[in-house]
Amino acid sequence: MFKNYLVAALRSMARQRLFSAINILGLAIGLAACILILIFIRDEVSYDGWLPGAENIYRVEMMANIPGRDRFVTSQSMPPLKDAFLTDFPEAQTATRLFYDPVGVTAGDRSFLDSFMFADATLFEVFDVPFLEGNAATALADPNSVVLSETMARKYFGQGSPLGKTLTIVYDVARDYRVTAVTKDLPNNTHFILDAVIRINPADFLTDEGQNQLERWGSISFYTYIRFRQGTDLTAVGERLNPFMDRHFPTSITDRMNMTGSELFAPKLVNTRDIHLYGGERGTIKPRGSVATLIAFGSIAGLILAVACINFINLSTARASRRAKEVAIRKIVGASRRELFVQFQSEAFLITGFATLLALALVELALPWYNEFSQKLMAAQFAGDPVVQVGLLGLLVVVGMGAGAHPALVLSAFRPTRILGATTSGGEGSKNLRTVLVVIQFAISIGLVIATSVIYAQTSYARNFEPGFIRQNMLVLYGIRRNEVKPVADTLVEQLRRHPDVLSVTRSGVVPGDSGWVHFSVRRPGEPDNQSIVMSQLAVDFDFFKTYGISLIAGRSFDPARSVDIFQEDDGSPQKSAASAVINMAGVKRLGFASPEDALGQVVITVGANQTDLTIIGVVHNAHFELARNTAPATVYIVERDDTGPITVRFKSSDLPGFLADIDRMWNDLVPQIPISRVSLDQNLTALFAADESRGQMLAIFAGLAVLVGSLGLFGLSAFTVERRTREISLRKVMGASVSNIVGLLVWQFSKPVLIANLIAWPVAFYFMRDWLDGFAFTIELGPRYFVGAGLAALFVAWVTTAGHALRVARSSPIEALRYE
Amino acid sequence: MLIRMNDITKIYQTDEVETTALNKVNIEIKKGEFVAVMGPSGCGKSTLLNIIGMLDNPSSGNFFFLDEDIAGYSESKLADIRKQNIGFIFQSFNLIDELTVQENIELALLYHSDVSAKERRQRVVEVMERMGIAHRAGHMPSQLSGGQQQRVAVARAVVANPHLILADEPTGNLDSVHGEEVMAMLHELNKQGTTILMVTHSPTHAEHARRTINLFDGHVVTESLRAAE
Repeated sequence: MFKNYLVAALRSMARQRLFSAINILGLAIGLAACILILIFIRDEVSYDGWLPGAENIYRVEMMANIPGRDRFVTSQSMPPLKDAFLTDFPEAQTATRLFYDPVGVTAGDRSFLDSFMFADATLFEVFDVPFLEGNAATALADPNSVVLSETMARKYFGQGSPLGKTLTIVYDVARDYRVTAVTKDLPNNTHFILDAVIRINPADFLTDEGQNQLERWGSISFYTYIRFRQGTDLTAVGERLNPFMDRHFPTSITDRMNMTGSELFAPKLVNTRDIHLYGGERGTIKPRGSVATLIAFGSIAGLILAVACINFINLSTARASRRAKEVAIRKIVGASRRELFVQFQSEAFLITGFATLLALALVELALPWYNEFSQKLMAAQFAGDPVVQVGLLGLLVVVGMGAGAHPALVLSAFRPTRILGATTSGGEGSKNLRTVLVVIQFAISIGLVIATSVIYAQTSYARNFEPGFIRQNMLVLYGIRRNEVKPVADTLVEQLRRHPDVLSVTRSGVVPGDSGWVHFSVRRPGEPDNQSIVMSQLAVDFDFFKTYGISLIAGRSFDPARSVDIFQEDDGSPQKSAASAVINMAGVKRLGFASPEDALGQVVITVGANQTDLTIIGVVHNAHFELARNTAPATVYIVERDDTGPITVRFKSSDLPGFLADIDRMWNDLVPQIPISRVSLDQNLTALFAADESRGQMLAIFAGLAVLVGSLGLFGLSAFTVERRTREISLRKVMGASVSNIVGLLVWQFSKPVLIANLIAWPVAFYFMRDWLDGFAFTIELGPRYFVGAGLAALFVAWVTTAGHALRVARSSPIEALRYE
Repeated sequence: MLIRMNDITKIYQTDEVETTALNKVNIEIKKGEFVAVMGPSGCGKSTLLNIIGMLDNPSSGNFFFLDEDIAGYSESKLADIRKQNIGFIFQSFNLIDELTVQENIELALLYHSDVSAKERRQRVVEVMERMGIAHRAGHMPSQLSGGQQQRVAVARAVVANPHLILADEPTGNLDSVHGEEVMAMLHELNKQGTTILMVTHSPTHAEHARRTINLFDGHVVTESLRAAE
């Protein structure tokens, strides 16, 4: 029985090659897109699931509620939190802190600048990662041990076991470390990076004044991970988190804000497996995933599949009359409707099966490119993964049913007498449904095209945003605060200034595009500490505004001739220190001055252990250091040489490689032991949007695929319609219609659904895109051009796909068609 | 009695027009008869055949098949009776273009769950030999002449050993030589005991039948009997 079905199906497919090809190709492209998206989603939700005991490992994150700033969640916490937590929560079995910082590494005669993990000795008690050499118990037993991943071990030592070999690692001071273990490279779907680990050395955290930074609750700089005992009631633990914070957080900080510790920073436990998608958005180790993105991509996968299924339904029901005779004969020889339904449904499964095979081949071809694109490594998880296999089978069933059920119902319902007796054929009744489905297809395509163009426009707007400072032809040099560089920093700056291509040089605490902004609290004179206001603080030197092209609105800039312009930390002398400050317009507003001029000469006082009077000498325009993402925060600029780090060089150069070589040479002459670390400011800023951009491109590609699949279907459907109307068209021609009349008539038939589709797609797309744009501080205007543009594009696609058929039939001699009838 | 029709009426209704295809028709057909139905176009011949073949329901009247009133039978029950008892032959052959000669014939046994695949193949080979088309078993219908196609159709109609063969102008698309051939086959089948009901325009071919029913405007106008040969 099934053999007979199979034979009939295969031969009927072979007979109607164009339609079979469109059906299979359309479904295959749709399925391939869907599989790619599902692989992406699967990868995103699988983070850290491989980690043994992941269910018991939690990261302590902080929900920050700093007055005057938007609330945010940071994935980092305070250095002393770990020990306090272990003391207060017996449920915690063990815990570790960790952070990442670049260090200079010397292996033999080669030097590197690499990011290392600094962790507590308990790191591998928390994270049970696989070891190639050495073991978890002894890996970090010694303060001077270093653990390398297999890739890093190869990088430093080549082939052969690195155990026992020595690395000289420079972090403030140079120390020798012995390799004690090699870990397997962690899978890509891990939220943290384990390239190279050394232990946190308390000696590195003593300030010149002898303060231990590891005891500071005011610093949020470490990741804290807790491993709870099996069976711990996390709800009970969660209830005790806020009191815990209130107990430990220093009142010296909270009192002046009139808040409790947990009101300022509420701790939150996030399970390791949830970190990638639900962890704090700030200070992440790797770029965070987003549930919204997953939902968006999942919906797109569904929409593309819907478009492909609609093709199948439309082409099958449109061509049903071709199979009508077969249905009639089968019924006459005794086939029941159920048997026929099974037959046609099996055919749909057969076609879906072919399409799935083709889709798998397409996926296999696309994966390398796709991995690069989404910055993932998903090939390995794809083939043997039972979840993927089950998912694939489910997809096949859903698509086979979705695409095949309706045509099978229609076909199996044909009455034999009507087909064999009369000349009218079946399938006419589905015409309205077909039109509705074509409208839906186009609405989906138009909606996706609108979304894509809006996202593209916004991303490019944000990337090219006029930020209020110069971003082109700016070079940033990092690593200036390192101990080897610090002594020669001034010399370096001087040498840079003397280069003929250099226009201006400055140093600042951070540069645009970086994290690590410092905040402090200030208050107006006469106001109590608890009325203080939190502002961003940026340490700069005298040439900062000049180099960055940030213009003054009122007052003056810093002047090297006036010693009062230089900020001095309170040295403990009874006299209060004083300094000059420049604020931005957001600062003027935040501090409550009526105008920039009003702010001049006013004093604000820094709040905390070291109180300094800051006299506002100038007001500058807002500079958007995070580009369009956030509004510029209220900022205080001060001149504080000790707090400045990276050097920014503004240059004009017709020979960039030559210029960069000069800079490199300058650096190497001064600090040969450490490789230069430089980046263009524009790159640094653009990196902020790398994730957005790659998502945008993915969306564009999938939207393009949806349109392609839809137009494939329209192509098939128009071929069919034109064929069906051949006789009518011939009669019209006999009556005197011109070729253009005929083409117009047919093209209009397919333009109508597109126009109706716009009416559906526009409001839906508008709603979703406005919602998306709301996440940005500065946005493009959601004007009509995106909508009209997408509509016109869809119309154009409809015309191109249908005009060919229309033209062919319009040009043919009418006699042929009529004689044929 | 194989077939008994009491006051069978069939009215086709569209939005505006009501057409009476059959008007109170009373017909009885005994097992083993060879009956021809004649009449001009539109007189209701095909409708009569469709109702007897259970492909269509009468608007009113009673239809007994093997003394069973089949009114109210479900579609699947009717499909069951049909496949056990009735074979069809059409003017336009109605072979499935995508299937070979052998597969087309096999189709008539395919929906008989009591016939094994082995038996099915055997019976198809037998009937192909009987009809002289065994050498064409693997050909597609489009590769055959009209006469050959109609032989395949006859083979398909008889392979399930039906009691009744309904033939709707079986010679209408054939030249006289091939037409005679098909009539000879039907004649032979009738001699072996199969009841045959044939719609035809050809008075010559109608002479093969023992009885001729003349339809006009949905009425039975005359019935004529021929003496046994």
